[in-house]
Amino acid sequence: MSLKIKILFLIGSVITVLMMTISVAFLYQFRSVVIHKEVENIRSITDAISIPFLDALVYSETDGINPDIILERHLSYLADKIEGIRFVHIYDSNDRLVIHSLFHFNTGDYTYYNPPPATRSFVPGRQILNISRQEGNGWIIEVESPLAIAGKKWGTAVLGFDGNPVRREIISISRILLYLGIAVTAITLLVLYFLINRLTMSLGRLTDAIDHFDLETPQTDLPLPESDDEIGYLSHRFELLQKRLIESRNHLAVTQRQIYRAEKLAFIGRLSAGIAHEVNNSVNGIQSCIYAIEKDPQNTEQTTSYLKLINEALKHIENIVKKLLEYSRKNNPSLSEVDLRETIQNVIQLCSYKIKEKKIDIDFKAEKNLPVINADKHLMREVMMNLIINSIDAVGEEGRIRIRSGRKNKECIYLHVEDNGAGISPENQELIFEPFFTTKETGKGTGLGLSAVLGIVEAHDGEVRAQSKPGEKTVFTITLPISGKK
Amino acid sequence: MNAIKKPSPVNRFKKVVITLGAVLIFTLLTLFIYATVLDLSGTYEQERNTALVHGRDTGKPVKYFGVVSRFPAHIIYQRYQPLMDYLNQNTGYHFSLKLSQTYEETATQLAGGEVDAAFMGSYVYATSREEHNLISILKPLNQDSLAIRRSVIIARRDSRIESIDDLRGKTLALASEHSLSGNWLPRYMLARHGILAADLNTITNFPNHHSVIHRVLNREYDAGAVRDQVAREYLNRGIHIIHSSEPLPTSPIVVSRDRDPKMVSAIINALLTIERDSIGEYEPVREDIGPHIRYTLSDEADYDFILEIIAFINAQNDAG
Repeated sequence: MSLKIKILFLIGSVITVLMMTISVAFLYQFRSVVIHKEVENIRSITDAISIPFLDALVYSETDGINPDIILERHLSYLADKIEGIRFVHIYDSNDRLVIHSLFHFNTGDYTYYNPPPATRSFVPGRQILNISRQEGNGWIIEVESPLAIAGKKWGTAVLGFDGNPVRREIISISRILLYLGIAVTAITLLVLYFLINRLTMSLGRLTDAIDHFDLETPQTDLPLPESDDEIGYLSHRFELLQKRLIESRNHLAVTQRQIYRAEKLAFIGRLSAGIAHEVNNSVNGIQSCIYAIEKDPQNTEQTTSYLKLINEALKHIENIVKKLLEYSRKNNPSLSEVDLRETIQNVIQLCSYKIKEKKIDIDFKAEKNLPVINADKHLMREVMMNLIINSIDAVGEEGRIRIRSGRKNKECIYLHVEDNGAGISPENQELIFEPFFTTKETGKGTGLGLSAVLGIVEAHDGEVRAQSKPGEKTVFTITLPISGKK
Repeated sequence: MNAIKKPSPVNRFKKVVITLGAVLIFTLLTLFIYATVLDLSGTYEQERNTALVHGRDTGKPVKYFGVVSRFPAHIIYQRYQPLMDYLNQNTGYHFSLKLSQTYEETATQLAGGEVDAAFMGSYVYATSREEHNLISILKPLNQDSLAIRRSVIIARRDSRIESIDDLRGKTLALASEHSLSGNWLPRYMLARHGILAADLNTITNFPNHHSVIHRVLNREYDAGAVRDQVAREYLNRGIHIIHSSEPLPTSPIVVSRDRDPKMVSAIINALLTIERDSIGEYEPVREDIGPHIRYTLSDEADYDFILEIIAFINAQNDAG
């Protein structure tokens, strides 16, 4: 449920209950006032009507005349003049019925009349007004009014008035209040809806701005809600945060560039030092040979021997240059179908001399479902060769090398090359893939093998990882995509 | 962006049930209130300053008190019935009012035994006491605790009539011909100022004092003569008093000399002690007693001067 609906529902409920409470209180108050007014009105009318009845009864007592004629004339007068009166019963001082109206007063729809009781008992000294619903006649207001002065009582007048107009008045105000309540509630909810809409629209704009904020391509002209309320404050804070992030990003980029430059310089330094070291050794050897030949040119045997050494030194330099060229070529593999199982077996075959020489136990197993992958055949052989030679160099006499290959998932294959050699110390584990890094003796390794592996694998969108426990084992794991570059 | 957590079906069902329940309760409550508001049933009682009928069924001997009815019957009863209630409570008799049209009729009723006591006008009492063997027993006290009243001549405030001498050639309204304060005494006062009926434009008698004042206020007459007590009721309604008489005795309560002395004593004792006895249960009714709040004993000689006044006026008229 959205915030808008929740607020509307909650406040709508509160307003509805509040409006209902106010309406009900007002309705009851109005009802009370209307009834009170009607009661007072009827009392006044009753008191006024009672006077001629009272006079008639007094004169009848004083002069001994029959009051019926006077009373009947008075009843006729009431029927003509007093609106809303329904019936009149006059009882004497002994509560015996003297006269009553047997005709319909003022209205044709009043189905009166059950004759009133011949005798009734009345509460002395009290005027009693009773409102009740009579079957077929609706609401009747009946008044029992003593015809008495001070301590002398001549009788009781019982008058009935039509109570339906009062009820209609209350129904009318009930409806007005109901409609008013609905209208006020609806208008309030409508105003509330627009206010909430405005509020949530501001929030939405802010959310959009947050969603669209991109550090790579920061847009400072995103439309943010501008107002002097909490939303405006939030927007302002977001704007400041945005600026701080951009500043941090720029700062980070500068720092990254500096680090990259420093790394690059360090790399070039290490590369130069490696090349210089390797080349220098050979050049020194060549220079020594040339110096000896120049010193004793007639010594053919020596010259032949030294020329052989010069040749080896030049081959070493050529080898270094070749590896460097391979390293630089790594980003341009030429893809074709490669059967890794076959490639590994060929490499093992090529290295069999060394394996036998060191009596190494080499164990290669490939899973049956190992697929043919799309890769550069020569580079793959270079990778396998480097890894296996690296392991052969690492293990001692009667060492053990285990090679496993299989399908990692639908898209990749894996290759584990594990040896139980000396392992790699933790401080060297970060450096083993750098060019010219080697722990081998001078002249025994160029330090370009593993860096070439890393370059080739990355050129194939693969990964290479080395795990080593010094003195126990080293595992190189290669993951390569089956379909070639991703 | 985090995904919004969707409500589970159970929570949604619970919400729907709660909402429907609230709507149902709201609807039922509205219907209940509507039904309650439109149910007008109820009883409204109001106490009326009316007591039970005293004495009628208590076996007390019934006695009648005569009173002249110049007004509608209910007004006469409103004025005198509280005093009857007081007597009923404080004597061994049940007193009931008996209305008559004139004081002469009341005097006749007293003489004939139709009534046992009566509120009598001073003039009629003075002129008929010998004939009907009547005697005054009590007279009411005024607000100043004096058993006196005055006759006053009134005129409208906006008229130029400021004194009794300004009445020459004017029209004059008087009360009943049998009224001392409304007819005989004004005529006496005018005569004493040398103004006879012939000196006035018109003199007309009306049934009661209030009619006189209304005629003056309605500009039908230039001036009028009434009892001071009645005139005071209208002082702030456009009239002023231009002349007042000497004090007169208030109108007496009269009985026949042949009446039961026990009953007479009972009336006298009750009305002389009305103030003391009114404290207590009779208090609510006492408020309605009006000018008859207290009484004092009447002297036969109090009303002798009336005959002298009548004789003086008749002599003046004869001379005129």
